[in-house]
Amino acid sequence: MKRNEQIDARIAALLTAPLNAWVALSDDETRLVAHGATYQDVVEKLEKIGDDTSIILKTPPSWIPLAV
Amino acid sequence: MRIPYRAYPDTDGTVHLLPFLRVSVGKKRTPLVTRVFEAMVDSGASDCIFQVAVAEAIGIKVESGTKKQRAGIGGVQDVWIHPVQLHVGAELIDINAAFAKTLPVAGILGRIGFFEHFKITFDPTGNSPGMEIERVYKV
Repeated sequence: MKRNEQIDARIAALLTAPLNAWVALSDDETRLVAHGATYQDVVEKLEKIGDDTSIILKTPPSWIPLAV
Repeated sequence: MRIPYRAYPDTDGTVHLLPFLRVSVGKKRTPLVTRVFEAMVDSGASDCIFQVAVAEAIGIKVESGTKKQRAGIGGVQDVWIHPVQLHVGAELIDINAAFAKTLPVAGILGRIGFFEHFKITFDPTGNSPGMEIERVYKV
């Protein structure tokens, strides 16, 4: 998969994820694998499906530019 | 090592490519370590700050740490400092990290604990924005 296609797939996956939540993307960052209200929720879902490669992210309250 | 910036959406439909890095955090003197997560590389941050959930995942009782405060654009908030191990690729670094109850991301990699151990060159120009990251060993 080309870089631009990977970016498009990542954006599409993130836009389907709930806001202000914890999510797991596949290792290639193209698929939403799990999501939950807490980090532990996501870890438990990954363990249940035997996934040890996905990457965990925290989604913000809104998809507006970050200034922390 | 060059790390491509990670894509994040905006409400107006644009895409922001941002300096996020895959890391994990471990509890010192134990095998406990978090899953790999994305943390923002932020040269403006004083130190490394993570969500409280990161500490809890490795059995750290956050409020048992030294209580401090950190100021950001969202205002002042309490943080608790704990010694942890930061995993960046194959590198393992002992740091004192701050843990906060409210962050818009899972973690922030700041000057103390991160930039003092890595030479970072941000390069948002060109067709493939990214950052060069090089481990620095102090003598």
